[in-house]
Amino acid sequence: MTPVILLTDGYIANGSAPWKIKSIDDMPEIKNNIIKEKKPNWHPYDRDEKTLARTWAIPGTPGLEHRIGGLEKDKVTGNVSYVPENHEYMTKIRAEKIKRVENCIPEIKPEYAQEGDLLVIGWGGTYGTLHSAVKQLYDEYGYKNVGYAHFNYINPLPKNTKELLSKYKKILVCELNNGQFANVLRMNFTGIEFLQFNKIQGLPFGNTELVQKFKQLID
Amino acid sequence: METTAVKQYTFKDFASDQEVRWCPGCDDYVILRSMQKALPEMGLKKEDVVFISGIGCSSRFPYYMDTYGMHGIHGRAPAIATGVKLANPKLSVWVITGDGDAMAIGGNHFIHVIRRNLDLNIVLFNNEIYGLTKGQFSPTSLVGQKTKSSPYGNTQPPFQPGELAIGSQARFFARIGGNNPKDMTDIFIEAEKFKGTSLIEVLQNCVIFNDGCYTKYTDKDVKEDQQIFLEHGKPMIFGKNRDKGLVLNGLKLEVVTIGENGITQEDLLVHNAKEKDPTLHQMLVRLQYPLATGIIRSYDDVTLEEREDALTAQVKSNSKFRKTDDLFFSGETYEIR
Repeated sequence: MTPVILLTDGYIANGSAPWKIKSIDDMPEIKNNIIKEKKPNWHPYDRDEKTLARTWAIPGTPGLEHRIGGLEKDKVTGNVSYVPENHEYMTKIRAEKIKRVENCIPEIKPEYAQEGDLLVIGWGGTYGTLHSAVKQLYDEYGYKNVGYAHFNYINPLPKNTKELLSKYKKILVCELNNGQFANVLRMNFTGIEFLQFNKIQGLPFGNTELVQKFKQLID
Repeated sequence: METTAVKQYTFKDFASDQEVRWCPGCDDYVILRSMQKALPEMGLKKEDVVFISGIGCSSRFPYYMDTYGMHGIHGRAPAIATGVKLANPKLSVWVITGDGDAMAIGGNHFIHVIRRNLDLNIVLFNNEIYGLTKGQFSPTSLVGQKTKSSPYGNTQPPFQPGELAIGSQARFFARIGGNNPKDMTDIFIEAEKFKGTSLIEVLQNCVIFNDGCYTKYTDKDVKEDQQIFLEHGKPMIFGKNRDKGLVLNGLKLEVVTIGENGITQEDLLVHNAKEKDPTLHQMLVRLQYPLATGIIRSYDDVTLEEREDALTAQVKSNSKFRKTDDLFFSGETYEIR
């Protein structure tokens, strides 16, 4: 159980596409970690060994009264804690909990070349333009050495990201901003060079400019 | 509330084992102890009590109660409390807030939760200053008040919490001095009994950053002459000698002395806290001399939960949607084959 921040952008918000409505029966069950009765040695900040998620005791459950809030808490009792070492532990375990979300999200699978000279990377509402530019290069112009990876998860990143990046000679991160995702990748994977292609004009990428840029990096 | 037997608690059952970190001498201790004494009298199960706070000195309160509690986000305790209450209406939900948290940062949440009349209780610790951040002026600081952020005097006229609340359609408003645990305890009990949003303003002295802000009303030597403690159905009488009272003179409240100019106790106004029309309650809230304390307004009205339940039942009986899929596949959908 962790908050999820969904990033969206103008292209997604204003775009439209048909999609199949799922029946609720076909959707995965949302499981929660609610503890329904008092158990011996239960503590509010006990964590699941695998996911590090805490149990959730909701008001109205006898014997599990406790307090939550923004001040740092003791790692076991959940009481307010001012112990420096506890704060360090809690900061690290919260980060680790988020890191372990990578076990719940799909690995990233590139389209077109699975390895080669150029990996184009995108995220968010740029999928359509980036995908069609790479497809054109691959199918029409015979560039079988170009792959495309579209990231749907930014933090944590898919756990095979490093392996993916190692399969291409050049990596180009295309973003409709000043390069935020490129910097996230640099922070996570030092020693790998990330080239950037950015546009901040309030307009989507155009096919011609993308194809031209990709060719320039390969030829 | 369920009618099964409830354990008889004492105030100790509601005290957590956490070290209280308010400044020595702070009225917050009085509020805490009054609440811990009031709760055993309410006939609630401990697990059904929830304290939800925002940010500020007051908002550390939930940590000191051995109940469910949430130290929330600045000004947003009413929003969290609304969710908690609507998710489980049998809970006794208490919002703990301060003058800045409720009327500056959370000004919108504050007025709207009152307007909606959800069955919950709000305790507003009004010390007319931002204490936790070390003494800046707040929405209830007085004009001319010198603070860290108004070194030459505050130029912004203050809110009166009761005036703002009744202007927002408050059905229950009480005011009590922070040095009056006995009446405060009783008011908390009455607030819990009241079905709807109850707001209790505690005139809370901040010993560090605004010491003595209520001295002229709450000091032992003057309080009987400077405060009028209102009780429903009783005459508006006050004073050490119980010889002063309130009458209506035109559109103004006027202080009179019994025995002077032919005034008798029968001439005094009788407090009707349950009156729907808030006009007189507003006048009482604004009164500077004497300062009105006690339960000023307690008007029974439909609660938000009752409105929600009625609407839900009505929609359920008429709606063509029986399950989520009915909703999913309704409207302008089409299938590509």
